[in-house]
Amino acid sequence: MPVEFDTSNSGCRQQEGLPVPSYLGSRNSRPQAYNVPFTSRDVDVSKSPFDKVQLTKLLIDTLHEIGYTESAVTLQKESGGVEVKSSNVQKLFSAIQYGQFELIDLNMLVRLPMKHGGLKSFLQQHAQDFSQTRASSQDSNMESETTVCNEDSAMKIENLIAKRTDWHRFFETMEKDLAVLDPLAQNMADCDVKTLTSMLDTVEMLVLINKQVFLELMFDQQDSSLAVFFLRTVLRKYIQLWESLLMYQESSYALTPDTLLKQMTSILTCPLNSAELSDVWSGSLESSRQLLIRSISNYIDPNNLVPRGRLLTLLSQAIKYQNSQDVLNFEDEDDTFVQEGSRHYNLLQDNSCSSQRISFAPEKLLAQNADEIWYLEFSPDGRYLASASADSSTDRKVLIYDVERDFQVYKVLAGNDQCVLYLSFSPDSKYLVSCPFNEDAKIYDIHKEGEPTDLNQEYEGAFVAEIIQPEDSFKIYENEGTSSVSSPRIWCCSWFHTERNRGRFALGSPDRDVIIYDIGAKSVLCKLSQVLSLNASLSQEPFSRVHDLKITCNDKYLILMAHEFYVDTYDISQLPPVQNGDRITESNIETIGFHVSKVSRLSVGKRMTCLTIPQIKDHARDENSLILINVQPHELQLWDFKEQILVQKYYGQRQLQFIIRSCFGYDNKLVASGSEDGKIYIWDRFHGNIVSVINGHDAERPTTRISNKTFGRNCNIVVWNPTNKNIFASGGDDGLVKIWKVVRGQL
Amino acid sequence: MGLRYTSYIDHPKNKHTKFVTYGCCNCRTHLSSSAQVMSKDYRGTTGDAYLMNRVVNVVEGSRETRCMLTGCYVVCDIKCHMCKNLVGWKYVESERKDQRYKEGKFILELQTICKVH
Repeated sequence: MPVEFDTSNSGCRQQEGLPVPSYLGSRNSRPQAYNVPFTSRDVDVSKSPFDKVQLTKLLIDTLHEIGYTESAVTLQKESGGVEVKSSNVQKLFSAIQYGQFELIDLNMLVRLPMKHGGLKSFLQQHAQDFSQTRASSQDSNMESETTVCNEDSAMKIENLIAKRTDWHRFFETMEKDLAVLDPLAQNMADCDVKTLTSMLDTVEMLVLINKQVFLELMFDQQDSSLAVFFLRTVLRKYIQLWESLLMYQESSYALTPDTLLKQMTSILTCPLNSAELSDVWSGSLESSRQLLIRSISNYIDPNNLVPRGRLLTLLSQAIKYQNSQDVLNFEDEDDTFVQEGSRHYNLLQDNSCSSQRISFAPEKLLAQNADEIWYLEFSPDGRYLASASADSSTDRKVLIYDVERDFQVYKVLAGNDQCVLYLSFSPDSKYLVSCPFNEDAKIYDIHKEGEPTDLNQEYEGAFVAEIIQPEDSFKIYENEGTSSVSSPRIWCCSWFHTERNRGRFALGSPDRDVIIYDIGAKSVLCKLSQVLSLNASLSQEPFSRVHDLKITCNDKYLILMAHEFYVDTYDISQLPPVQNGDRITESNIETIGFHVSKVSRLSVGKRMTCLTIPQIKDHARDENSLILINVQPHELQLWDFKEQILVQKYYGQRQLQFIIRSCFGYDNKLVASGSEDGKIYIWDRFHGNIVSVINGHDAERPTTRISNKTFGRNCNIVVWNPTNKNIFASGGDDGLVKIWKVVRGQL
Repeated sequence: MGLRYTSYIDHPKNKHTKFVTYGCCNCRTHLSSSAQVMSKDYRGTTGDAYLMNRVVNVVEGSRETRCMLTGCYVVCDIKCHMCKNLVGWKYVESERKDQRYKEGKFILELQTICKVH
């Protein structure tokens, strides 16, 4: 049967006329065969790498799931009796489903096709009792098989009457099985891993079943005396058995034996509130039994039991793959949360999803600076953007723009007589530290009132920007005894983030030091070079010349980018916390004691110009051991400082002799960097491919404000807004700050 | 022209006990060291000056011909690459053959440099 493809249906295809980068061409240059009508004979299942039986199982299971039970049965018949669940699994599940717990015994569990292999042979070898019990129970099993079958057919006509469970028979069986398992568990030490795992799996399943029985006795039967008896005689012993096995082998189950036992006992002793109750008892008998079946199916070999929603899992993986083929497509996490149910994919054709595509457009151009922009920083709340300029003629080196009010100048930070090369906002977005060439770092309160200026004239409805003076300025004095009269230069700064280190920041110096400063005490808290020199093992080498430093968001690690071609990470979690009233100063920190240990040293082996850590919103994410560094020549490297591995490299941008800075962006899915050709380069963080190259700062700027000034053409820095992931800013030698926005979908 | 990457001149281990690093007096960027001094017997525009074999972290200005006591030279001014402070000049070409040894060498004016570490 020939199938014609409807070529006019190109609604979500790339439209003509739009510039498409050459690497996107794959979409248009599909294999020709794709468009050739084919017959059903072309799809030869026998030649496909997939097993026909598995495929059938998947289909039957899916038919069941979407409610076509009859078709499922028909397919099952037509395929010659392919079973989604093997008969042993079916037996166990129906026993659970209809509450016939007395039918469950070790024998039944041992016959299950387990994920990690069965226990059968092991039991036969080691437990004579077992083979005996097995022989004796053979008859009863035969019986039960027939009952199950009858029950099954009874279910089909939906007139099943819940049979009372024979609890005492169940108790007896469990105690008997325990007697078999217990001696085995004593000599598990010399067994191989495989046997151990399957033993553990079996016991865990028994614990789960027993837990269900106990809960049913409690909540469904309301028979607490029987439940107590059960807990004492059976469940507790199984949990103990489980615990003894855990000594040899790790378990994947969420609860530990200890917590499980506590949970069960607390049900008996004190009434639970509704939240705690919903944790252990899902409400109805049916749903809790379904939950048990689901958790038991985790132990069963997927060949004998199709995992829940397997086809849907496969399909969503296919969609993910299709999306990943488009380099401009970035799955938006926020979107998926909001529109969980409402997003639909077309299953019958490949998703091109141009609505998901990402591109970048200019938003604003800020030209108030007279000279090169060397540093930009968004405040942590995303409301302000600060720029540092090399302006040597005026006292307007640091400007703060109001992001929410159209990027008008909010404050002018005066008082720097030297060019400023680094800025750092405090975590509450209130203070800003500026680091100039020399040693004279300054702290500003950005909300302080000051002298009005006319910088915002070109805006309509402008508000008056104010010039403010620094709140505080400080130099770090060398210790007595050294010959030098000068204090170390301060070239980089990073604030601590958490409440326990409120008002503290670390300053890095190329003159071999890192200083932790306390804004409340207005004094130096400690010098890392001194702290480390107390540590005898590290005193061999001089402290590195620090070019950039960052403190991770949990204040645990201090990362230093050294001139000497390596990145060092120190554990600074031992720093004494800020206490009210009693400020810690440099003099008493030695008595309190502050131990710093080196976590890792990454040998990059090349000149580095910038160190960035990911923007962290979710503190639980594992991304907080990643660092991004700009490396000369011409590359960026993404490292994991805990694992000490190079994760990814990003190529394409130019940097040979200038300090070019980069950033993470768009929920850390992108990496952006400046470049010596004036362009902004943006990469996919995971795949390392270039997503976009933007002509940002490569044009010569008309010399309006100062004459005879030749501007370079570097793009020195790119920064991403930490709260609004659709906004980023770049600064260059042309003295311009450009604001860019992320555009989703077609322009 | 952007912010340049700075090199450092460190005290070589086990050698030169009286090693001195010279830096820009304004921003203390390392420029040269005592091991690079060829002659201390020079005069610059601001006073005493050293003739240095190698100088780092400087940007060169445009070439010009300048006539000095020992003859005319093609020179270019050198500035500290961080703060653009004028620190001396570089000899590019010499008219007189006996002064050719200065070609490619640098003059650092003592007024503009200081000892750094």
